[in-house]
Amino acid sequence: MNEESKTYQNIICTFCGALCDDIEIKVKNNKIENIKNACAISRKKYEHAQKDRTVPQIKGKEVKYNKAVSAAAEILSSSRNPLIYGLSSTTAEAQKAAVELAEKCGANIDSTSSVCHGPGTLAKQLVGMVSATLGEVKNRSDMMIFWGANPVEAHPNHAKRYSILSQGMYRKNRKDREIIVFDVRKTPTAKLADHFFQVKPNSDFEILMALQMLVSGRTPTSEDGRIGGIELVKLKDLAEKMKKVKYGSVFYGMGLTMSRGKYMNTWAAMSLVRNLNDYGRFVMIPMRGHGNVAGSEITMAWQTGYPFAVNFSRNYPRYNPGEFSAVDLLARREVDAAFIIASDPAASLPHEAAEYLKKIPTIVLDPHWNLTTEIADVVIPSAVKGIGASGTVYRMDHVPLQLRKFLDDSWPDDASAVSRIGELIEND
Amino acid sequence: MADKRSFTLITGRTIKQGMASVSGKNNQNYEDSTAYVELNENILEEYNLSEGKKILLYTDSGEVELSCKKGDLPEEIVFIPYGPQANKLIGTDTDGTGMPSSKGKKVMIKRKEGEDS
Repeated sequence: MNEESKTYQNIICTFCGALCDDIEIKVKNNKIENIKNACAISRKKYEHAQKDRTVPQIKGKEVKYNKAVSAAAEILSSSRNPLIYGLSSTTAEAQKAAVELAEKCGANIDSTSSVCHGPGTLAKQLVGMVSATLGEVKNRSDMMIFWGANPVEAHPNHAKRYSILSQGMYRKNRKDREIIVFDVRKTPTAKLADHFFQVKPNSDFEILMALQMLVSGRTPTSEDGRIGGIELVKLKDLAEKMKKVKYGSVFYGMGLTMSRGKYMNTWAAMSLVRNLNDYGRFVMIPMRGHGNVAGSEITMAWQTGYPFAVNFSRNYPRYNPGEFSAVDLLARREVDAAFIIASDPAASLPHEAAEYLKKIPTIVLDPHWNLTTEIADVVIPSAVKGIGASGTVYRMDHVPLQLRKFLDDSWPDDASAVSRIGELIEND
Repeated sequence: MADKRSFTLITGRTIKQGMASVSGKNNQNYEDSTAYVELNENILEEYNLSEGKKILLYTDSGEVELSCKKGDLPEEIVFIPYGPQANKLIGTDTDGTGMPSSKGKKVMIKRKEGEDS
């Protein structure tokens, strides 16, 4: 039957943590006909949404959906130390079901946060983080610092909607904001900045500590007049400027969390931002990568008390990044089965850790084929979040948003699949 | 040409890698957008390399052969987009944090024998 086309306004793109909620989608006959307001990545995401879809499989052979779900339950119930991993591209409802499942089967549960902003979360636990919503920053921030973050390529509409080029209430355009970028390379984001500070690799901690000293009126010593590759005199000027702005903001990325120092880099940045609040308002927001990776931490913390790297082998949650985090568990070959939810560790984890997934029974729950479905023993398809499935997601500033389904999907959503596996294990 | 000179490996996002990653991971575009290394122009010249030529990169965790591209980078940095090729060079030591050292890792490069410039 040929239906009339229908246009859906204010659809939320779930690709990155910016969760742009102004996407306009025209639908006809349960197919996407036209996409407006999407960035280059988001457009590709919607164009690909209904293609390349997974089907239920066991060891490469297509099976009925229920059989794949039962096989997943059997693997997890017979495992002595399973890993549930991924979670950053699914809904809070599925994340909550995954925590319940982890408790039922005494599993380790970790999200991709451990290999993106996890170190920042460790720092938050040490020193706290002064933060704000993206709306507040857009409306008020007169100095925006991007540290080890490249939103032009990773969050393409961030600049237009929330930061560099956005139209705020009190900061109306680009001229009303001073844009500063710290990075080891001159990224496309650095090319939009008023000031680019080129960081010597693995020197973020030294620079941040130098800025802390300068803000508090002390001058660090340096034999060559530079700290971390940056002229001390320029850092001194910046420290003075930071003290004078009305509302400063720091958007930080993997440049801080993946470099030497890891959580100590973010600890130093959070401490600096805290100290700057003695002068004006200064806030920090992590540039979260996956659409609901912030939600994975929030949901896990709400359910277990801890944000990631949680272990249920003693029937109560224990937290220890480095011990119960996915890379460490896989590299040390401590887990004997893996359930991957809405993630592609074969593409995103260090090779040696990803390779171990081939040696243990691995289940993947994902709407699309990826490099991990290639090596999975069991593949369970699911509805595409924000397109064929509704649910809750959290933006990088922790604002929860409700996804609206606008297409019918052939498969149940992630939350239903994970809950069903839990029921099968419980009733076994 | 091979020497003991080391570089600093930075892995990261690019717009093409992002677009390809949501267009099907088994798609040739994904491989094309993640299987190359960017080097400073002077380093390409020093190693007698031109864009598209293959080099071997190796760290204490693994090695990978990738084609070269000119990048707007300091001489000491090489850049590879996030993906399975970059991850062959990244180790599993997380310093007790869960996070591997995906940026700032020491890497060596070696010109492939038989590769004309």
